[in-house]
Amino acid sequence: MIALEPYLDLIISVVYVVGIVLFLSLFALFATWLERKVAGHIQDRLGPMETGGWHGWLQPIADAIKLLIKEDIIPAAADKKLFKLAPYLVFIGSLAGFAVLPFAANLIGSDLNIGVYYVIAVTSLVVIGILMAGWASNNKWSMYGAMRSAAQMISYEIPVALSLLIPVMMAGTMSMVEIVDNQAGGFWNWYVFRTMPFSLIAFVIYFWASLAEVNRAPFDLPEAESELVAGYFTEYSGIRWAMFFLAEYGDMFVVSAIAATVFLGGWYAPFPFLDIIPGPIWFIGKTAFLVFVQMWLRWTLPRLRVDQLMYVCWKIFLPFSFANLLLVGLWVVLKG
Amino acid sequence: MNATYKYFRDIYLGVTTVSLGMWITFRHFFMPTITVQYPREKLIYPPRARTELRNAIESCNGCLQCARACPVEIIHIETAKAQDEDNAGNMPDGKPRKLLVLTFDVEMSKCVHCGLCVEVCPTESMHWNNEHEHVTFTREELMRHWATYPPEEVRRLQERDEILKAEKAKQAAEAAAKKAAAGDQPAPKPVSKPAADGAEKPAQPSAAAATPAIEKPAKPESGDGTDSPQKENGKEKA
Ligand code: SF4
Ligand code: SF4
Repeated sequence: MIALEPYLDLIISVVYVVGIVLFLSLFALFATWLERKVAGHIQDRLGPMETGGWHGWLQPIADAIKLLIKEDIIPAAADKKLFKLAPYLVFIGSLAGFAVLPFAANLIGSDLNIGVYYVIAVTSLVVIGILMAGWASNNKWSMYGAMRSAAQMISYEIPVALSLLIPVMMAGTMSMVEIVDNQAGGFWNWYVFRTMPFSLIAFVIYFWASLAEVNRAPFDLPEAESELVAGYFTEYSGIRWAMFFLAEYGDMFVVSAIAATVFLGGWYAPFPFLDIIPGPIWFIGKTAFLVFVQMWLRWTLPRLRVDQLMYVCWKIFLPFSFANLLLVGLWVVLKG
Repeated sequence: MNATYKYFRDIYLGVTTVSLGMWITFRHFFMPTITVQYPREKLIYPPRARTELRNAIESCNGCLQCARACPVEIIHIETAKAQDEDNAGNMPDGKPRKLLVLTFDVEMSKCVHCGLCVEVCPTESMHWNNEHEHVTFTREELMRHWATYPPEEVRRLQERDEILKAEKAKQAAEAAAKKAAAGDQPAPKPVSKPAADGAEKPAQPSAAAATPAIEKPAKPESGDGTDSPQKENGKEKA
């Protein structure tokens, strides 16, 4: 017992990481099923119905098993080291974001005092993995996808960061837990409603720019299956492809969770008397709702052209975020 | 000014059209789905859907029209004249049955579902059966046999038909000879024709074979009427 003492932190960290990976995998399985259901019902279809009996709930498991036992093909002309490394990098980038997600007041990997900053930084790591995958595949589709992803990143990162700065300014801290704590006591205290309409605009801009961050329609240019086969992961198969897939759904969760944290009150219930329901349920519920909206948008809107994405990000999101930032800054100064 | 107006108008349009699109897909989310869980649920096809052919053989009068209409020549019919001893019964319209349909085979595997056979059938016995699951492991299984006579019975009736036809031909020849003797007509041609028919095509359905020879022995064209069904018959056998 005494010998264990110095390692206690380590053990807790390992347990937490394993738990997060499990949670991420389960969430990805659930999200693929949900995605197909949402797509189906929006198109007046049913989606998977056979595997597992009730509405095909075992379909993602069947797919996962299929992916795991598939042949792992590495193209002869690929840069093998980078090719093998890229999926893990993408996956790590998405997993690292989980470290600062506050599932509840004391259920958080690490309450960094620069939480928001950290998240913005590590989620950009994904793009390096994507570039690596596109370059290493030695395939024109992959290369195009990777290039688009890089071009997309510089476009969306700035509006994302500027929109996230607004709740940071209002809370006066970058720590995720403190930001959430400042939103306690009913939905009217959530930052999204605090300085109407500025924070609402910030929330909308963040949400849309985050769609570009996770490469989802209408900003799914890097993987544009109708133009680029599958974009940067065209050459991947089997387990490595599954890594990309897992990372994409992990990213969806991370960006939605950040929106839920900084704008929608994190683990707090919309009404104080509902706080008897545990925080993680509220947190995951809000996140899942945003993930659902992402899917809903994906099956509503067509893909934008590259220049349209640039137009939206640089000419609309960026000026509005700046104006927002100034006005909210003024509001904070006047109030403070 | 104009550019500014366009800029804000674009934003306004972007926001409103995206909201509208989301509202539309949201409504579809709750609409009943049109998917039919096929092996468990089945659609009922409209009555004229071209599904799979079926011949209600008891009302088929063996007129061969369907076999003649079929563009891919996959309907094979053999008939024999009905005799009193057969107790062939009546057709659905109440008239006595004149022809026994000995074989009625359709190679469904080659059917192009053009529907011409259904179209021409005078008795409406050829119809679509509203089932579409004719999937089999071999092509032979797609052969449809609708006649109910066992093979030996088919052979017996065909032989009987042959004998009867030969008799008829003989009678006709005698009648013609008598007529030729009585009058001045160039009888030999029509006389020889039915005789040859009898020899070649035992299963030939009566209609043309004997009667015209008796009634209008003088006209050489009478042979044409008999020709086409015989040709069909020849092809079927080939
Ligand atoms: S539907 Fe089939 S059997 Fe009938 S005429 Fe057309 S091809 Fe021949
Ligand atoms: S057309 Fe009709 S009645 Fe005539 S042979 Fe064909 S199925 Fe029988």
